[in-house]
Amino acid sequence: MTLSQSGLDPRVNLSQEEMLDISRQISQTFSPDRNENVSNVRINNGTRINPPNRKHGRSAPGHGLKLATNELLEISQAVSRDFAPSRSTEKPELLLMPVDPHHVHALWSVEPAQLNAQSNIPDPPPLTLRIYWLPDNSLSFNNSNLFFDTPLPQNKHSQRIRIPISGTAYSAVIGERGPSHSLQPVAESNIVKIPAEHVRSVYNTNNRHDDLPDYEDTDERHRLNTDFYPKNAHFVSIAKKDQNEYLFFTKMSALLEQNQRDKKHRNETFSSFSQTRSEHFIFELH
Amino acid sequence: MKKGYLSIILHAHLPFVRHPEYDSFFEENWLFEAITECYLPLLNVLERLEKDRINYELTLSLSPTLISMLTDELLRARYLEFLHRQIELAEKEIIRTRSQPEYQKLARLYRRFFVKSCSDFQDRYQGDLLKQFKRHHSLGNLELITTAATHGYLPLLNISETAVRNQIKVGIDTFKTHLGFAPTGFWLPECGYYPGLEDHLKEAGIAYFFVDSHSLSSSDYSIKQTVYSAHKLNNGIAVFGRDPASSKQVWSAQEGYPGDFSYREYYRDIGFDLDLEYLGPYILDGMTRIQTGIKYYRITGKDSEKELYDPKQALDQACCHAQHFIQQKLEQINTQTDETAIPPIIVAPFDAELFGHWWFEGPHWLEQVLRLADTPEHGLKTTNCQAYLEQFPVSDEIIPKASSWGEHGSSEYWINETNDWIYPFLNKAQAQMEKLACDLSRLTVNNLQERTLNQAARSVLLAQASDWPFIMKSGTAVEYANKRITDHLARFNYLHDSIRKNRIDERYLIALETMDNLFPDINFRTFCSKNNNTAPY
Repeated sequence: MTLSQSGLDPRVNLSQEEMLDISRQISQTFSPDRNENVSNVRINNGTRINPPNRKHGRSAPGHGLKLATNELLEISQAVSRDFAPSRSTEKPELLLMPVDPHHVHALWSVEPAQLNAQSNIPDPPPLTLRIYWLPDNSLSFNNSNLFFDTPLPQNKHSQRIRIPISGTAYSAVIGERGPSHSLQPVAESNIVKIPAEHVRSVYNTNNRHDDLPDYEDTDERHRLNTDFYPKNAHFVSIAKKDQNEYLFFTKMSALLEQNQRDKKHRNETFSSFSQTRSEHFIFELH
Repeated sequence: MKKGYLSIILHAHLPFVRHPEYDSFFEENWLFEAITECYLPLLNVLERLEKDRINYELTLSLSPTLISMLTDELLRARYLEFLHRQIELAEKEIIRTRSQPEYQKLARLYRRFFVKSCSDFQDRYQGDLLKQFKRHHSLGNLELITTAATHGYLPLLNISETAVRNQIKVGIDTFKTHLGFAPTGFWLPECGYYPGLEDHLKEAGIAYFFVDSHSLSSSDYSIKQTVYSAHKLNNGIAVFGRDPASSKQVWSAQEGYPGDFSYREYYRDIGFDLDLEYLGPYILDGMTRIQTGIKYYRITGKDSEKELYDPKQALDQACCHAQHFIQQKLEQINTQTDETAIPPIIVAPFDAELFGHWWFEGPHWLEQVLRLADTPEHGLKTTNCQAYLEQFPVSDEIIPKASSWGEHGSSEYWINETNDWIYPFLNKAQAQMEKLACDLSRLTVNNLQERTLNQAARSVLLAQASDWPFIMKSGTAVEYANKRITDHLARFNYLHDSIRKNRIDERYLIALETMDNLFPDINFRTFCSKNNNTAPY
């Protein structure tokens, strides 16, 4: 078939410059990628692999201008060097991550200069993490939420922390403890949802706290009742809405006791627990 | 005769390792070894079963990163170069062992193995393994499913629901692009589950997923009650539990089949036995000893001198182990059927790379299991979970507990003192990506900005792969894992900075698009969160 038979109009004349420009554009846009040209690859018996078909006619990202291997490497190294992730020094940060039904992992970044007035004293107190319990997976907290405190080790940026109740949410602040268990927070964490400990049938969970069935069905309940219930008898008849607070309280008590008894857990739990409601309870470890 | 079902799931996944910025890159061998030892042998098994008209069902989970690498032309070309070197080394070994006929026999076997791999990959499959898996799917024997985009460990990404949603969405989109249909099942990376995850799966059109057995068992529910049947969650999606007995028989280093003394020893490789000068061209930088894939010994015993590998003896043992496995499954079914009205299902998921790479005889074992299961005389039948659900709809509702198939069944392996440093950075990048997407999703962006934003989304997803914290904990290739995480975060930081300052260097953008060239259809707008439940960055 000659050009005149092809249906194209040979009367459209292109200048040499136009043809050169088009040729360059086609070469730039459609030339085979050196890295992708599998037809160059020969195997031992001398046969060639056929270039695989492009799927679905889509262009992968990176089409267009082709860069040589050394150019790619230079850019990769420059980006890695100039934009490497680094801990923020602008403001303190605090992150809580769920590990299992009994633990959260706290990660923080607080520079001494970011602390409050006490930062320039010779022997500053350790940072304290105050973990708030958010019943019903509420998305915010305030000072009326139950909480417990744990001192954070110096020269570390993360710590695994044991929590009293599973199947609920927590949030935390980090700061320096002041008088009367006050805390000057410098950073607030995300809200972390801690999964429940046990498999549940959906028919048995209406209006019940995730942890209650487990609590009610285990020996721990009996032990808690025996050990703690008598001392805090006024919790016996609390209204239903406060049953979860009772559970939190007793669980925390049990953890404190375990902490005192078993030193191996000391690095994963807390040293004090306080509740700032109408009644005030404070537990301190020695 | 009691009746029951066996569903074997192979989860095929490798992290995205592709380095066009180097002429060759050692970690790309992960893919090349898996193609040679696992994926090609698996296709050979499926073809033999097809040829012999064996009635079987098998499920294969293909991760989006693996799909992307299997369809990548650069990696296909480099794979052939890899095979070329393997064949060359095997030929060199044939010459070296000419005075040791028993060794030479094995060297010849390796040469045949590599030449066949080359021939299969190049001539029979035209470099397109996905097309072959799809063909077996269309024959009705192979169920294909997928997993999260870069195998992100979802319980720890759950700080941002948008991160979880995008891992699932981009994963499924990639599968659909390459396989041409939507998967009904979903493999949770590392079997990592948390209550509520099912809502994202449902939103993505998934019908079922898998959890580890302890996710379904407790003092209230025994494994017998929960693992050998399907369950429905309150949004209608179905969940299956991993059979602990099958896991133990195949996975356990001490009691599992792969530890049998007849099988090929993985760790004893000529890469560690022969002179460096001799090995030079076939090891890392000519100096660092690595696995070459040529191994002459069988496991032999725990502390004993290694004896020469006997392929026939090993394959015979694989047959015996297949018979044992089927017998064990029949016994499990006989125990179960007394207690349940519907036939039980034994769900046996494994890493696909176990079969052939770690356990050289694994593909042969799998073939024998599927052949033996196709015996009308007993009540055991292979199935896939979708077919089972269609035949036996579930009615009971359950909320599994959070779990993984890692150490202690929790997230502990992916967040601990060896790898926890990555999470503030991952969380910050995710939050920044979401803010970018929300700020710009309703504005008109030009093509260059759109490409930059999409590339930023790719960088975030790549940094989220579960493989990197896993490697940091296991201590195997820590330096590389650290580099990959920091490189992807740096690339994200660069792209984020470029957008915010409206100073996009197209040359740099093209370089990043060329290096991280997966997920061509990604849309940064899906990173705009539905709510603001993200960390305060």
